[in-house]
Amino acid sequence: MEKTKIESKKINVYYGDKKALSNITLDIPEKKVTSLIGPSGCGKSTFLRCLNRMNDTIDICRIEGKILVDGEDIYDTKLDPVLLRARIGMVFQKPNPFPKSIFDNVAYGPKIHGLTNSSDELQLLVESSLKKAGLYNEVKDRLNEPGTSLSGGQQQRLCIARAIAVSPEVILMDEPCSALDPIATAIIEELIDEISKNFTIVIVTHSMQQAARVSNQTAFFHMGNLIEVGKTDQVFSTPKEKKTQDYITGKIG
Amino acid sequence: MKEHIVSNYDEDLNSLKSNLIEMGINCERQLFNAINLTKIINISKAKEIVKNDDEIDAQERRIRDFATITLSKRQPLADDLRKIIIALKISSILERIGDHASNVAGRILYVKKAPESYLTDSIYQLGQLVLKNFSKALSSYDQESQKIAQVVPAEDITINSVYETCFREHLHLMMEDPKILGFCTQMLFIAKELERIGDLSKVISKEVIYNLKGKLAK
Repeated sequence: MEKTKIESKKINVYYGDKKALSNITLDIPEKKVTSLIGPSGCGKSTFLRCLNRMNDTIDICRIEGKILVDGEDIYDTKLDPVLLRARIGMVFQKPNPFPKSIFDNVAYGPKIHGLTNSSDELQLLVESSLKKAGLYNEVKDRLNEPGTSLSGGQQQRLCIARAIAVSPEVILMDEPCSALDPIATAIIEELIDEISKNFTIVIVTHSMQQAARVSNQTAFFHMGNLIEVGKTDQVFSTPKEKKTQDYITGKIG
Repeated sequence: MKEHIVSNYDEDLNSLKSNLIEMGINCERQLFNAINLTKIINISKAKEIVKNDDEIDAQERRIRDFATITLSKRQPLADDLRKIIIALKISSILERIGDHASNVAGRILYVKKAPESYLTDSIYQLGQLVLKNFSKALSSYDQESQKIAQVVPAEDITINSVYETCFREHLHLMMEDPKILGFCTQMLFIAKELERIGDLSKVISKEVIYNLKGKLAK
């Protein structure tokens, strides 16, 4: 029996008067990959951003319902969202390295959270994070060069290394490969497979094939509703809902 | 049935289906002609059947190429994927059915004519049942009908028992008149070819149900 890492219960999200998500109840299993699919504007990114309170930064956004990580309510007013985001890291659509060196990009998180006691320890942490992200061999001789000097795929892996460095429990990925070529995409997908042994991953993707390849569980959103959630193999071969079937076979926009 | 946003995609899937049905009709005609040979031997007709099998083989190759291109171009999922998978499987089954029909004609070419004492038409009757059930399997694919597909396996049980009866009947004929032993042996081979077509029709009906339900029946 797989353990549930994140439980979301009856989530409603409003942007001002507009309801973006309606009554979403979805469990995210631990150390597995869950993909969120659906047409643009269906609410999948909104849902993803609820999971580490990224929506807090939007003034007009209002959230109802409960999200529990290991049984703990993340919208508890006593909880510091900055600490939450160290536990639940995020990788964005466009690689966004800091305008700093490759080393500092990865070292930044551990430094501000005080995760290491010495510069040697920090050095080791940066190296191991880059290794986990499959980037170390490509950058080991130029750790002091700017992160922005890397190729798009390498920058995205740098962002993953940066997310991994603070030892998060969950990594959220918002279309991490949409700006990458097929080879860089394949490397990221291989990486997702590898790191899912240690992290819980939730990925938003517009590529059905990518969702089918990388995830264990797939959730289909449509117009703010969760239409269907199930094992990825089942959702893509024999979806239960007509709407899911129409979307994955290219019959609704 | 809802259409794809990309209308070419629908055209591809429809064209795959119509090619397969065309191949099926071709097999049906070959089988019809081959079964008639078991009643009235006709050497030129038999030669024609053997020759026509090349076209069925070519149809299978075309369907395979088209399905491969469609798979790579559309990267289909769910029912679309199943449609292409079963088209590939059914085309290979039809090719086998074509071979069996051609083998019936080949045996007729070998025996050349029936002995006068051979009066039974039981193998022709077996052929009629096989042909009818094969047509049913084909229309279950054409009409995407689970109802029709479900009838086919049940009918095949009857075909198998008729085949057994034919077998015993021919054993008796051979014991009574050893002069027709060679001919009867060939006729039994023909009966076996027909019985195999019965089995393959059943496999087609299972593929049709798989397409509709997403699960392969036992």
